Amino acid sequence: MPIIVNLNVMLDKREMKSYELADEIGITTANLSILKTGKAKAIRFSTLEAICKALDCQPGDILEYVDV
Amino acid sequence: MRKLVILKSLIDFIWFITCLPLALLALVFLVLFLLNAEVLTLAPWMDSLENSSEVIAQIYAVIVVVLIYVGIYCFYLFRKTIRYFMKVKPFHLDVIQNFNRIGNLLCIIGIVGGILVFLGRVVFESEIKINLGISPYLILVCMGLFFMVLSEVFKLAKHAKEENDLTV
Repeated sequence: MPIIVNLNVMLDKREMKSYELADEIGITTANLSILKTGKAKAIRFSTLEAICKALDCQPGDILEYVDV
Repeated sequence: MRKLVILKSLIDFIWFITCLPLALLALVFLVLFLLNAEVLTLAPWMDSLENSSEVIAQIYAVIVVVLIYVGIYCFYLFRKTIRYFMKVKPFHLDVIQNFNRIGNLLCIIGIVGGILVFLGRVVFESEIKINLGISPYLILVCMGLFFMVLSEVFKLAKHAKEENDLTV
């Protein structure tokens, strides 16, 4: 998929662990893992909003379009 | 779920009371018939064996028995599919494949059965009869097509479910 999820990069920048983010935004670590590994087919606006709020970033910092 | 339990019980009942004995009887009939073609004169649907050659009648009987076995196999597949429904796994890949296989086989049984009956009348009774109304063979083909459509619907549903599962 040409959409890359840079969640790992943002988590490293914020020095935050995956389970901490999952806890904060209220999703399971399994679902967060799906998102991080790029297996996710879609992301809800509410989840994106929660991630942006927790990591204090913009959607563009997490999602990136790469032309393949 | 109660309806599913009733369906499963009925399917099991038909399987043990009809399908298994039928499979055995068909095999016994075929062996007897291949040994002695006179056995077929007992069958009410074919009492003019003297008009046809024994070999044609034997080939005819083999095809009929094969069709019976294919029908039983369809029933077996349906029974297997019901088990997935009982386990609440309706979107399993096997369900889609089984429905498609059942559909294909039912269509084959319907078409081959229809042709066989038509040719049987021509060869054994020397008459040409075309039934334009509802016939069991036409219903079988319709059921086959229905199962194929059902398979396609389940394929779409599986895709939708996967997408839903992978939405975070």
